[in-house]
Amino acid sequence: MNVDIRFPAYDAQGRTFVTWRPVEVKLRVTAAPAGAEEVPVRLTSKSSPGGGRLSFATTLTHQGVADLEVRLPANGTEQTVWVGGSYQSPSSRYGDVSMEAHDVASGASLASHPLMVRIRKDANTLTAAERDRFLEALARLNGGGTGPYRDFRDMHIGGPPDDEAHGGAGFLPWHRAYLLDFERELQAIDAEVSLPYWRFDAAAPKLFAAAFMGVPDRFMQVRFSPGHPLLNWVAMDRRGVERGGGVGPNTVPRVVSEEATLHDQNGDPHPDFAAFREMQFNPHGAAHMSHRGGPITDPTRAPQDPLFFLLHCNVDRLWAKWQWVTGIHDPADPRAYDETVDAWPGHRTNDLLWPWCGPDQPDRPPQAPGGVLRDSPITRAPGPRPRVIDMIDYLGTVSDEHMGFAYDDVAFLK
Amino acid sequence: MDSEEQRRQYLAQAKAAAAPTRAASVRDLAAYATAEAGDAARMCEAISALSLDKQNYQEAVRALLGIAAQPSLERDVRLAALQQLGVAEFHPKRFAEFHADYIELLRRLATDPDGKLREAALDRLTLKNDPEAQKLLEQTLRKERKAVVPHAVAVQFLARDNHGSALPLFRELAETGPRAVREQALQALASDSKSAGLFERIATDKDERPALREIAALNLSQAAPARFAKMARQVVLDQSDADRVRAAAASAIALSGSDAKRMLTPKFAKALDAAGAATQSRSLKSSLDRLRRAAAAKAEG
Repeated sequence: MNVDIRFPAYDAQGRTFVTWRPVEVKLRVTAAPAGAEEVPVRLTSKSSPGGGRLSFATTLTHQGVADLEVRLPANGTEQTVWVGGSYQSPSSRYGDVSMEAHDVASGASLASHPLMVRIRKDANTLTAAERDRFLEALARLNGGGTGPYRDFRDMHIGGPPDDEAHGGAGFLPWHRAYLLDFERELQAIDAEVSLPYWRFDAAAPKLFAAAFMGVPDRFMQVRFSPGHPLLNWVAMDRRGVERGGGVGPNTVPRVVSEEATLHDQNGDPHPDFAAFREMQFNPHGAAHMSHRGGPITDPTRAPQDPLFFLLHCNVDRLWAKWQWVTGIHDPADPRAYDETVDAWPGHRTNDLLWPWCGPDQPDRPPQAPGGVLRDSPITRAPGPRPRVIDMIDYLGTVSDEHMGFAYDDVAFLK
Repeated sequence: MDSEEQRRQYLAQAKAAAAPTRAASVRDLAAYATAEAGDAARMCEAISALSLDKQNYQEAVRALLGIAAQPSLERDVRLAALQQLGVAEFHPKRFAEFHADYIELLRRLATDPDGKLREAALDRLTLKNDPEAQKLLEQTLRKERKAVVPHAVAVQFLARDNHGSALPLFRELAETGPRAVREQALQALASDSKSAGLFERIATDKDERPALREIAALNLSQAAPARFAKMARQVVLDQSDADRVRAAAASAIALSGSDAKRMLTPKFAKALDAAGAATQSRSLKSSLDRLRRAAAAKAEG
């Protein structure tokens, strides 16, 4: 007797990935003993040391359990369970956790399905292996200046593209889409990689080290360890990464703290998106400027420094955390977004986001580098041409679809 | 712990820790500026905390422009104002009305008596490809005027404009400049196919500094991939060569395109195994391992 375990989606190598947000998994008994109507099966996860862990439930809920008994029809009819990563137990590599099914009566193993709880993590907490995989994928994406990275550089420049990404309410949804597109390009190179974040209200000694994002010298030239993948980084026909010396291994940048970003002066969470998004100046703009010089301090050049993507990953995490704290995930909730009367194209709730909307859209930039938003083998959301509103419910808290990413310290709550 | 309970605790902690603070206002800045002791540290703090929300934005930016331009104020205060103007720039639509004044201010600061202010101003101007800033930097490098910034910084800043006309100057400086200038000039020539000969010469010269050879090798991998492939193979396997250069060459092969990958034959892979076993350098081992994986992937593909 065996149990077939089928997750909703797999990549071309037959691998599947989950976040904290449970997904519908189909179970089916094969070759059940004669005469049985139901087969009691115990679902658990088996983890390598430091590996991910799973939670199980019979409905979509954040209250999954580590050990779940289900009764599967002996005739092979499929049954659904919901499986997600167990909060705060992410994977560090593929296959460090597997979903196991055991016969309750005999204890015999009926199935073992490896997977990965793939989560965006604090860059300062990555293992050396996680860090090196990320750096290698980043370097390949850059391709010595000839890779797909160029499109991401060209999406975030001055002129009309600047108006798409900055200044209005669409700032956060735009950057969420941008990072997701970027992360999926990294995952097309190495599916085990996710985008880490720079927690910029705390010191990050492992991040600002020669082995990771480097240490600037007196000439703003970032120094890396020998053989480091980013030695081959080329942003604008110039080799290397330039960054001012404002943030060292022990620096706590002078930015608004996470708590102050999410809450007002009375310690209450900002009641709506309109109040929350003032964080665009501080901590977001302040984090950029904390380096004191180099491309990362200029809105039209910042992606030339790979640290930019980790900075913005933290900006997005702060939005995600505000959503968690307030429970505001539903795009239909007027508190979830604020379309102001003077909103320009790209910042109204139902506007398609540029550049994924394509070139030659009325009142939008005429070129659109990069094409549509990269798809994922694991999920269909948010679609190739997302709108502002499509970027709000990233975890699928109210909708049926999630976007395939989550943060190590932001839980799924339903 | 249940996620809902965790959320409740997080909210309770935020409430308990809340301490009403007032963002600094323009009036606070005026008070510090006119105080007898002229407390620069407190003024810098007030500048960093200056509110840039919609209601205060215009007044704040005008005040910051005034502070940065004021020669009687301490340098650190003026630098703090420039930094906060950089924050204000992250709202392009609101900042648009101040853009012309900002550029004019930066251009004045580019020739300020204080070196740090000059460097900060030129940093911001060259990120915007400002032609007047570029002219000052070229004049500095050609020694047609007193240097506005150290020469290595001038090269670095000039190189930010990839449509600029400074390539011939960079080629010259990569050969003849002092140490730091040569390094910056080589970085600036990353995509210059006309410099392939120079790159190959520097990359293979064991008397050159490893840092320069590293840059030259990486540049060659882009400028002339076939020449790089030939050179890199020798360098990677040469146990008498500098670990740093070998590591850079190995990584460049692993991360680069098809020309270099053609060398990844089974025979070469075996030689890599021997090279990895012979070295104590962790960085070199790591780079060789990366190259071995690339070779294995090519063999499978």
